[in-house]
Amino acid sequence: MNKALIVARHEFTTMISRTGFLVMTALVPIGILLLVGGIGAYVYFTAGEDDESESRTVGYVDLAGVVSEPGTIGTTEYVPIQSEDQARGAVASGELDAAYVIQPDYISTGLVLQVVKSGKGLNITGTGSGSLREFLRANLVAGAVDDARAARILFPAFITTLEVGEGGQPADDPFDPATLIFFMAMAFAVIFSVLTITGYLLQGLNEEKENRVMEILLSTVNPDQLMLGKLMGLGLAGIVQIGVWMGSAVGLLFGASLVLDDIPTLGLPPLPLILVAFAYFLLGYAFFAALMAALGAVTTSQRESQQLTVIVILPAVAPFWFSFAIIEDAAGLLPQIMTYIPFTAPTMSLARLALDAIEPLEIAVSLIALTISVLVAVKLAQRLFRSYLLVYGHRPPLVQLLRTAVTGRV
Amino acid sequence: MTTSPHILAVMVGVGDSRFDSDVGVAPALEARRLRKQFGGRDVVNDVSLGVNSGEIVGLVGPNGAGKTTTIRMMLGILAPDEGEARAFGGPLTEETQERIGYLPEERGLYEGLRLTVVLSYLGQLKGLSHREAAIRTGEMLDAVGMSEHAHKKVRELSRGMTQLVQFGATLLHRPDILVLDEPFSGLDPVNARRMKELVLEEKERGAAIIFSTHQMTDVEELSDRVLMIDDGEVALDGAPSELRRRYRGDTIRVESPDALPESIRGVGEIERSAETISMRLAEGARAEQVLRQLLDAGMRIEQFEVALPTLEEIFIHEVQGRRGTA
Repeated sequence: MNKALIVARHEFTTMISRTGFLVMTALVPIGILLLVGGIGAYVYFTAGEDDESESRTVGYVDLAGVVSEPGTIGTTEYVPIQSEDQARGAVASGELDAAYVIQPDYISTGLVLQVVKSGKGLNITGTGSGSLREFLRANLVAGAVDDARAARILFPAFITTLEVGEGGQPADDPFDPATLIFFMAMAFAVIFSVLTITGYLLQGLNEEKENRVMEILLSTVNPDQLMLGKLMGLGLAGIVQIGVWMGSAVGLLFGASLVLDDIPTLGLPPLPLILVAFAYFLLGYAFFAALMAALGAVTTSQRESQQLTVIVILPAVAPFWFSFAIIEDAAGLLPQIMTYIPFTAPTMSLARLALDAIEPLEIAVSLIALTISVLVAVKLAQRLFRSYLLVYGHRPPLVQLLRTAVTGRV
Repeated sequence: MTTSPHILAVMVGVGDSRFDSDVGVAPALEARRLRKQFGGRDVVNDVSLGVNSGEIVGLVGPNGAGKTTTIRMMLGILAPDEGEARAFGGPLTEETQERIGYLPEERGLYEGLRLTVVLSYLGQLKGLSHREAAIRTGEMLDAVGMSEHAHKKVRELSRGMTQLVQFGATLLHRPDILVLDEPFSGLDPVNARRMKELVLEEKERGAAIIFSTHQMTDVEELSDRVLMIDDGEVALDGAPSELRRRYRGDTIRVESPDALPESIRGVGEIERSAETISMRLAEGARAEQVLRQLLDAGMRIEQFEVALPTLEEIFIHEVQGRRGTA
């Protein structure tokens, strides 16, 4: 087997059996579970209060012929509307708080189009999709109950949203909570996982230098193979970690949306956007890992390397320092600049994707710039890796390191 | 009759410090005019040496002489500024590196991993399959007397035990070349003896072995040839017996029931003990001239010898001589 693959397998299996890695990987799903549980509990205990304090008028367009008569569920009054166009107009004018278009194939698909005014997409309790389900159930069981209807009683509605502007037309930039949540979570996960995994890379290198295993390794594996193997093995561990985090997040939220009526049903963003997020993860990982490998090669102890790690970590988390400015104007100059800087590009681009404030061209340029940065960083790291892996006791002067990084000579 | 490569190599003298391995059979491990500078200073300067299969070479030299740097270049860990390291008659390659076992001077293994995991990993890096590595790990732990600790983590072992395990890792893939940097330092006498036995077993198996040490007794005990590096250069090279003869001292030891004649030409300081008389030869005097005077004086000689220096005495003499402090 290729030496780099042997190193990669060793690094991967060692990493995924580390207690710290296992704890961190498990903590996120547990945290999400607690968060979802907390939201569910909040919704459950506050739903009654809201129902008593506010009354709403909601329209429905029954294209499936399942509603036998209008009615009131809690404080929400359901009134019939003749067409989707009328519903849009009524919602746009504020005559209705929301409207539901029960699709012609509702019995077989459960599809209901929710028409709300733009900006209400994340209003979990506002338009009361829970009460709609109850309204539908009441009507469904009003007649004879066959199997299909029985299924609909259990899962009455899978809601899609149509946001309309002032004229009742679909909004240009409909708000998608799934995209927001997915990419915000991805941004946090990427930076957290990348820094954690590359931190382990650095720690491992320091350990191998301090206990002199490095000499044994280098008597068999060349520095390039060693670096490649480490990057592959630890990178795979990072993918596993992010996969567990994102998978558990999507799974838990999806499960919660089925159990708790008032949590919006979340799906995944489109596949191309997921691939873009994955590309940012891989490139971000490769960039930071190369820098950490270089740091690990030139430092002589874990303590020293941890001090120098700040140089890498501080710019990496810069998007979080400016989070208020970014949320206020995600397409502004500062976020744009940070989209092209390799240290901040992964996090910033994912954050702007979440806020739907980045153009495809910006993504393309950002990914190209990040790819070039990765190639340069790997090249520099290779030179330092080859030259200083066996330097013990004292760190070479900065001038010497720069010369080696540029020329490859000590 | 067929002649083994090793015997042929010895016959043509390729183990000498300067040679052309293209003539005859090449040494298993060879350094050709290696040179390395650090910070503008020559750490290794024009060092050539070779180790043949079935031969043990002791590499000695004062601290900072360039032994470890030479070893690292011979293993391909460090790239020489000039010269070339070769193995089995060709340049170092991934394949030839897999046939080398290396025990570095400063010992250590992955502290948090179990012995079986560490050894299996190192074995696979040396070309063993996963299964072969697992089998050899068991055998090797048994050979170094550590099988009962197989599933312990490295951090649970004492320093000496870790050193034995690391030595086991060096032998795991049955290397054709063994490079041992200070292999016996820090070991108790029992474990040092066990390790030396293993080294001799490897020699019997036909491995070419080079080890560096500061302990001249280890060199005298194990080495077929001694190489001394000082100030980045090869200062001495030869078999221990040959070196002792070459550095034969100026001291004569005589055992006799009779008293010495009152006057002996060519002798300076004389020391008497219960059984032996030690005489220091004067400048230019020869031992046989002294012997003839004693016999002519009617003295019965039971033993007469020119005392051979120990390797340690040669080492000190040579180092001090090169530094002008003798």
